[in-house]
Amino acid sequence: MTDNVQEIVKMIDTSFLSDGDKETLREEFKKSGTSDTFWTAFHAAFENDFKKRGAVFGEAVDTFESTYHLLEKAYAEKRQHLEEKLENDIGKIDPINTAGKESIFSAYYLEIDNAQNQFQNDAKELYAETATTMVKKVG
Amino acid sequence: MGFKDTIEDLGRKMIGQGDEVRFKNDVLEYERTHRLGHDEAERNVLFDRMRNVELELSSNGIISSDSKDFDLLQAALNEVFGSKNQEQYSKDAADPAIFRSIAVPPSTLPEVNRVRGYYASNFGGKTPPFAVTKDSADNMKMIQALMTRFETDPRIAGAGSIESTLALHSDLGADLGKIFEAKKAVERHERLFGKDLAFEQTMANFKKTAQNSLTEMVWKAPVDYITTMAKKGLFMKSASGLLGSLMKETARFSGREAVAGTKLFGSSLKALGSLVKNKMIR
Repeated sequence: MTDNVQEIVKMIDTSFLSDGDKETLREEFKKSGTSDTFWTAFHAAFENDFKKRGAVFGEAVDTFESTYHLLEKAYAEKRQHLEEKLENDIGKIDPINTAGKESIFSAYYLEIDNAQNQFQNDAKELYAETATTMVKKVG
Repeated sequence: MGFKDTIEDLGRKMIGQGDEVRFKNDVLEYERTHRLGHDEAERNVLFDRMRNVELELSSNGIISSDSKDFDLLQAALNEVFGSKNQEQYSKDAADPAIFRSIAVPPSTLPEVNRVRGYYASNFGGKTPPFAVTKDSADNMKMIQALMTRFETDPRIAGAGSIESTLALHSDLGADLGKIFEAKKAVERHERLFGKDLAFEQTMANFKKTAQNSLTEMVWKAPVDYITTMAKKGLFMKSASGLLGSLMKETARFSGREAVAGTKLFGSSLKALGSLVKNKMIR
């Protein structure tokens, strides 16, 4: 440890702690100097911050993973439905009717494209929301 | 072949018509070696190209998207008929008044499986939905049947150029048009299946990036802070104590999908641990 006042102040100022925590540590440093009381408060502030980060992170990861899983599931179900529809529609067409088959396949590919865009947009939105909420909570 | 022809061929090769030039020269060579007229030589060389494609089709169950034999056939058709005629043949193929119906039995399961095998070997074991592979197999079967009908049509074997024969009998051109359309459909399936797999990869990458990013948003600041402290050799006892608390807090996430494999929780923390330990020992 060091007794260098400037370094300790800089260490508190440049930390990732909240403004309130920084202020408390500055006060404690003014009051107790580099005594054990100060270092105990110093460690406690960081430990609390880590705990808070852990809780927020855990919640964010849970939300992200479970919601992403639901999006994946919805996409897979949509695809399954489209494939069944394709199978059904194409079965009714004469195999040599290339134009008729092309129109059915075009509709299928377009729907797949839409489902992919939907999945991608929902996933991006989920990420943005999760990140924003998490950052707000961490402070 | 004269100097002018050589220069002209070179120019055509430079603009991507190498296979067309090759066909033209093969026809000339055929005329000379078989002592035949141009029209008959052209027909024979064109049919040779067709038979090579049919051979590929019967041995692989599909004409691959990068088939050299099909490229050579396409070039031969370009050379003989030109693009305008071929466009017309495609239009005629869609016209039931011109295109003669043809009975093609539906693909059997082994035939569909050969197409699935083609996909599996070209796309890392993955295959498109059954309707897609079956359609490709059906199209291939139709191409084979149409080629046979075209080649064995007595009108084709008659006198005159093949181009003039098709000008007189639009149903023959429609057969060629149908072959182009069927081949296009097969290529489209393959192209879009590749796009489909690329989407899967994109989403897998997105998820990984999002997880890395969320992890970094929360934990990068503490890791960087303790690293800076440790690198400067400041407050080593504090750095060590903070690292211990950080490790304790993050350990409970180490088995999580979001965290496992992220650089921050892997190499960064390990490096930080070594850094703190080394500074403490010194």
